Amino acid sequence: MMKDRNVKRLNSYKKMGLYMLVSAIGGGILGAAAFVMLEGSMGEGIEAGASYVLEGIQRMMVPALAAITIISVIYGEINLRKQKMICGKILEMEDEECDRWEYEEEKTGAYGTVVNLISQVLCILVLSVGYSIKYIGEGNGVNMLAACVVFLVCYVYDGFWQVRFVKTVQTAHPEKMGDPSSRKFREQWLENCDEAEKEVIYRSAYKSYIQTSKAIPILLLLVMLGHLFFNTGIMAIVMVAVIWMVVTVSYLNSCVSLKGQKIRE
Amino acid sequence: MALLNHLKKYRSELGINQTELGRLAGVSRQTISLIERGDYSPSVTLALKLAKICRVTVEDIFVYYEEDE
Repeated sequence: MMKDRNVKRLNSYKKMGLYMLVSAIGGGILGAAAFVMLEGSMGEGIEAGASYVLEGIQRMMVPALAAITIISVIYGEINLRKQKMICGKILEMEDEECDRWEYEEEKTGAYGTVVNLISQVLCILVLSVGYSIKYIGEGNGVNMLAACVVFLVCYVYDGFWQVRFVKTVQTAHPEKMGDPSSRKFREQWLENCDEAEKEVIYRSAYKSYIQTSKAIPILLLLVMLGHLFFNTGIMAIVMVAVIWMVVTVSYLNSCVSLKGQKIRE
Repeated sequence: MALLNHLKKYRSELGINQTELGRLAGVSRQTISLIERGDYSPSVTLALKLAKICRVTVEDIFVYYEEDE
């Protein structure tokens, strides 16, 4: 038994060492290849291409933001109308039939929320392209101001959409109380969930934690490479590193404090 | 190991739907549906509550068995 455990432990160390070695060799080869490619004309080409794209987005900032806003509004309204219809069906239907409509409700809600989030993220990305003193100082103040106005319209719509969405869900599930405009809305919502719903939320949260823990090292590598070859700045690296710290520390802190609570009880 | 249940049978005997049973047990209709389908094993508290509502014992509603049984 003891021998088995020792063999297992040794294998884990060997496996981990092997992963590190393969990663180091892979990183070395990729780094050398990137250096050879980017030091020459290809690197200049990529830089020129990137600045061409950025200038293009700067010129199209207002129409791009307007297009995102229009798509967000149209999809948001269609989604909410469908959501209202589904909520009506949930109230009318019974038992097994209701299961299908509640699944539809979950799916429609997820699509709506994702589109809402994408439009917010895209708006921030597009606005960030022109969000510099250098760009504004080059006589683009009015363009930037117009972009900010469209951005605000989109942001206000998306914010109100979220409130309307929650209120629509609450019509079919009156037991789900909570004010969507409150900062404590998530806690209020969780308090009104029963044990099966809480299990779904906890499992999804843990899955999100695993996905984030996988994605962050890759993002960190990308922003480090970006800084190495294109001088994208250290800020992006700091931000990703801080997010990594916050995610890991808050998860561990929650685990420890929950266990401590159980002991104190 | 698995958990079989006869919740649907006892609910039908009471003549109430999932929403009503959920309301009496203080859970959502969806949770009752999940339990009836065998997709969710309730907590001891909820199992006792359901048994009390159906006026039977927990063992009458929930049957535990090993896979090879």
